[in-house]
Amino acid sequence: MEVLKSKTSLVNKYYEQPDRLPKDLKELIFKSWEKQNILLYSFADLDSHFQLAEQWIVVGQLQIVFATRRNSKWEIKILNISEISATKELSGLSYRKLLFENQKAEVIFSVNYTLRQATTMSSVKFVLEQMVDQKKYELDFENDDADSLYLKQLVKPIEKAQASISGGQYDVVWRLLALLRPYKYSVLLGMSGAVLMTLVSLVPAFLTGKIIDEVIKPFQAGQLTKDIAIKLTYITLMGLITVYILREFFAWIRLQKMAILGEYVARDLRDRVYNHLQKLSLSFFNSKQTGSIISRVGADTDRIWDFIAFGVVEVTTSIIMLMGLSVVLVALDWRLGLLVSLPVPFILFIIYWHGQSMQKLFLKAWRKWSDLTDCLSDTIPGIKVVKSFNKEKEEVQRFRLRNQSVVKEFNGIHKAWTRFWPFLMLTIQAIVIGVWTFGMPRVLDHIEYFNKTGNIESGLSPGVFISFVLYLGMFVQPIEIIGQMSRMINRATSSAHRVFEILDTEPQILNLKGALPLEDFKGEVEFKNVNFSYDGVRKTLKSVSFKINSGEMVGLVGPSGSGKTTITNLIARFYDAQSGEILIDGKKITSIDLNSYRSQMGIVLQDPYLFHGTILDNIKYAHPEATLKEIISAAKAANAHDFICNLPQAYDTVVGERGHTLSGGERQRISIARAILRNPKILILDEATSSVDTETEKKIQQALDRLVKGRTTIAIAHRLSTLAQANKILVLKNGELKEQGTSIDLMKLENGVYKNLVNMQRELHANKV
Amino acid sequence: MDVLNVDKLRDQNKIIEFKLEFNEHGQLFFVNKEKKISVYIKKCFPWSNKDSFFSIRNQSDEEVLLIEDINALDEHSRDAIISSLLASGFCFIINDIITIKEDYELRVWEVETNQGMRQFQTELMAWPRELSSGGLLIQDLAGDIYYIPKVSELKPSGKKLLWAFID
Repeated sequence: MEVLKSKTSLVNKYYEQPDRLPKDLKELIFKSWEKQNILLYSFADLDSHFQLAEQWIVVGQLQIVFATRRNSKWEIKILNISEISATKELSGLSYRKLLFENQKAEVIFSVNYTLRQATTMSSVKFVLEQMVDQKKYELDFENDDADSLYLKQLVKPIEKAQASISGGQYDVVWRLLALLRPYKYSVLLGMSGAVLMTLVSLVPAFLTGKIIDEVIKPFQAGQLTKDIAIKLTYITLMGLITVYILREFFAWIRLQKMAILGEYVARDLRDRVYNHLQKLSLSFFNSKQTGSIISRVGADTDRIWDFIAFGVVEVTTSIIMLMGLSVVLVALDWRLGLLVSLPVPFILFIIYWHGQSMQKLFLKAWRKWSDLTDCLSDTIPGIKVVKSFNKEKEEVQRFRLRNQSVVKEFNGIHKAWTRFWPFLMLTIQAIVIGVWTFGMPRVLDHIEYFNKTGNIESGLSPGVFISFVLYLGMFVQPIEIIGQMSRMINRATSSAHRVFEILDTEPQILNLKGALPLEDFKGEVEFKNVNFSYDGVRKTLKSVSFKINSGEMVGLVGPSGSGKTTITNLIARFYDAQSGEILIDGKKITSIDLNSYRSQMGIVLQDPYLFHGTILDNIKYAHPEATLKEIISAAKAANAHDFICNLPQAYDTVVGERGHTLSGGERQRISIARAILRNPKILILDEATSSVDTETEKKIQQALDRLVKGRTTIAIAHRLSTLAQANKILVLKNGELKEQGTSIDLMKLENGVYKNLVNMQRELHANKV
Repeated sequence: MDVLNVDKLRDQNKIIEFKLEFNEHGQLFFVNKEKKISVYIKKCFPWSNKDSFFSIRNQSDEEVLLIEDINALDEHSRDAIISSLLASGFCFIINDIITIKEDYELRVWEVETNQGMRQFQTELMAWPRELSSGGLLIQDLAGDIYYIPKVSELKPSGKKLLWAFID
């Protein structure tokens, strides 16, 4: 419910269109429909003249309604789905047109819309196509009503770009501050240190005034003897020394406590985020860029540390300092106090205004910087092309121009702030001049009166005046920090948004309550009418049923996009099927403890991933307790031992990023050794030999032949010849299981999908030869 | 399918026995003696050279005809192409920029277009594309295109808001 609420608020905030089908239209539709529900609907925002309009397409079980709002009334057209023979889509730069054709291929209706509506319209088209082609519909979003489906699809582009969590900026700030709760005593100590340091900082200027008024001046007037004056000076100096020591002591407490505390908070956040990332489903990783996830764990938590360690304290102490200064100055002399305090809000405003105008300069500079880095990311990976076309000079020139452009923008920024700060300082110095202008005559009055009467009651004493001048110098820093406060909070909350988004994402694959660990696992896999869709609309698997007996090797065959990898994803339980059942040893896959199940699984991917570390570490990853003998045996079985021993540092060679470069075939054999060492009951081979040459393939195939023995193996293979040993081949097309049987059985099927694929590969091979 | 190059055919004084038709539903058809097929038009250079080189393609995305200059066509076909281009080339033309604000990881634009006021969003690092013609293209998160034909002709307030996004 909360999720839908946040999606509704996104639509209302960013799109100028209704967040659901209007109630009056819904009522109108139900009046004309009998025994029909609204399956789904979409908004269409362009009329036939490409003007913005409010139009809706609403799909029921038997009819479609096209509604257009004209002069606050609905014009409705109803079509029987049985009248439609096809739907077609025309596309332009920034629009789509959905056409509905009758049996005579005549267009009976068409509707225009912008790309903003493309996702919801494409669902409408998809469902209608199903209804038209198969005279039935199968919705994979049965759990969603039409309203929530519309909302979810509409806000997808926003959610993809934006870290989506509920709550506004201040909720995020509070949530951020709540991270300090486990360290409340340290926070209390650190903040007390900061506050005391700030208050103590106000004392030296006060004491300076006191020494002038109560030591120097009376001594000058002969009211104090030299001995007493010196004694009083020493007492004041002792006071000053104590104040400075206290100030630095409190500063030390503040800096140490808050910096360490910030580190702890950042560590806790990184741990929580990384821990949560490991629990998240593959769908989360598929929807986010790797760089974005990495920066959330790294750069964003670092920025949060900066905010907690310094930002919160600096802003708090600056506010206390400003308030303290204002109170002290007004208390010392209310007239001069007001003269100094009243312009402060104005100064804060001009700092804020300057910050806003600087943002524009920074924006332009960032754009130029991004041009420069684009140039690098283009040419460095493409350096071979640059060299082969002899374009080095042109590239150097392109880089130089962009580099100059960056410098120009950053110099603009430097010019702007170097102009602003003297102006700001002049404004503050104008206040100082004001203090001198209004203060000095009163100081002179005071001295004159004092010289005449020896009384200190009139005018402004020189000591108070000097204190004022010293306090004025303390105004600049807190004003500057408070002026930057909005930017600092924005940066921290943006980072917090990105981090909290991960923490708020619910893992989709969970151990159900009562899930039991596997006992005496055989490795039998059965699919019963399994349906699956990645996006909730398009079915990737449609009512797929098959059984794999323990120890059997099964090949998955079919064109790309047919659902082969989806089957392996479901067997590995990276995703859960939306309907149907997946049984492992006769038990529902969801009733089995996930860790115990995955510990029996081995996967060899087309592009094997090796972690940064030695070959030994990489093989051992599957079974850290394995002995060296077992590791060598696994490497030998994977045909990897010989090439490993040929490397200068053999099993201790560092591979992975920044490590020794291995060929695709070598990496594959290491990953097979890793799988062998795991000794899994179920083995998934996802195009394990497709990206290597024939010689290497032979070696890998030998290794795989050893690996699959005695295990339930599900193999996806590009080269069908590699599935010769399979007990069974499952042939998929468009998410449906079209054929199953042995290779010999399938070759007997006239016009069979498998037979056609084999013939095509044979022809291709013959042509190559 | 063989690709017909209209200009080449004209140069060779060959009779071009086909025509293009455009109907009220926005569909374009390629018609010759043998067949009438549904096609669509694609500008080869929609921004850098928008008045020449048009690829007429069938529903299987194969090129049926390449037209360098639509003046080489008969009047009927030319009208059909122009009508089809108007539809397929639709994008929002921005007449004025009202605000450009930043939200969490988004830049939110409020603009006045030929279609009225519109708000759209781009990613923070998705910069508008400057065209050599002096125009500016902005693509929003959904893929919709917003086009400013001449930035120099915008109101001063709009130009001021765009300052950081143009050279």
